[in-house]
Amino acid sequence: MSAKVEIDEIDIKILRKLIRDSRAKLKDIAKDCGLSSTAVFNRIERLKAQGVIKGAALFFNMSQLGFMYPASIGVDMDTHRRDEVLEIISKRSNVIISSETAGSNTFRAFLIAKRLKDLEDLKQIIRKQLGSRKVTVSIWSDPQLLFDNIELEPSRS
Amino acid sequence: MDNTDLEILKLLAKNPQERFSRIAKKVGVSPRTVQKKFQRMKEVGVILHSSIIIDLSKLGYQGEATLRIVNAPGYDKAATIDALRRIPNIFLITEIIGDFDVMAIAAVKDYPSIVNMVYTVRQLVSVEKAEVDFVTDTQFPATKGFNQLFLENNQS
Repeated sequence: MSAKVEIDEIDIKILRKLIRDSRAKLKDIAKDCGLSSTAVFNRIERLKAQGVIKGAALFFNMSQLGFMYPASIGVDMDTHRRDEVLEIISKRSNVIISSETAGSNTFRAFLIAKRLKDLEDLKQIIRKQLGSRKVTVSIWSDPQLLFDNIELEPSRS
Repeated sequence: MDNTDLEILKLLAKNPQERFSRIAKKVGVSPRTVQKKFQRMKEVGVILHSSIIIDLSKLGYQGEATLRIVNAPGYDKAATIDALRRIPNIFLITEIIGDFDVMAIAAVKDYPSIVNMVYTVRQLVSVEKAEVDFVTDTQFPATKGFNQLFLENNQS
């Protein structure tokens, strides 16, 4: 885990603005924070240098672009066969992210499949061929993004 | 969605913060056209949201929890979702089809905060069962994967 960095209330205000819209204009952020555009720019640059801001992400409606089935898959199995499972998942879908977990699964992956059959096949293969104890496939319908819900607190006043 | 829309989307996927004037130059249309098409894609829901990516480990977080919930018989899923929306740090909620009914992803600071969250969720009358997994990812709201996935599948 990386070290905590020092940020204040104004930094948080800027971060919140950019979470709401990564394309927010400097002058609009400046106005809200009661600062100059230069001051906001400098703070954003500092937050990048500190490793707080890592980039920007765009969220599309994937189904309108032909990616029909966003899903998550949780697998409970022996850790040493994890790479084999990941390879199988990657072949049959587009993996967004996969991580080892602590909890009811050994690892979980978020993915997008083109066809429902791919998800079903995936489940069967992992279950039968790789000796997993349990495979949970969940197809997402109607995801809601609630990024404002994140709590950010200043580490200095 | 026409070809120009797709070109704009591709450039935005590469860099969500790219200036419209630069996109316009690359696509060969006016900045005003880019602006209009961007707005239109937002209105019809092709573009859902654009956020910066924050490394939450720098701000005192240790990971993410995924909650999978089975709704109690006789209760609407909407009741569960509505209650989840009000729990701090839950930043994605979706209905799911499978062994569970609702899934939520939350940023977590420490072990007690996971325990509290799971306790809160299990107390809800509309929740029959809640399972939790913890991962040490702290890239909020996601890694770059989302954009890259789109690019990988739209090679021209």
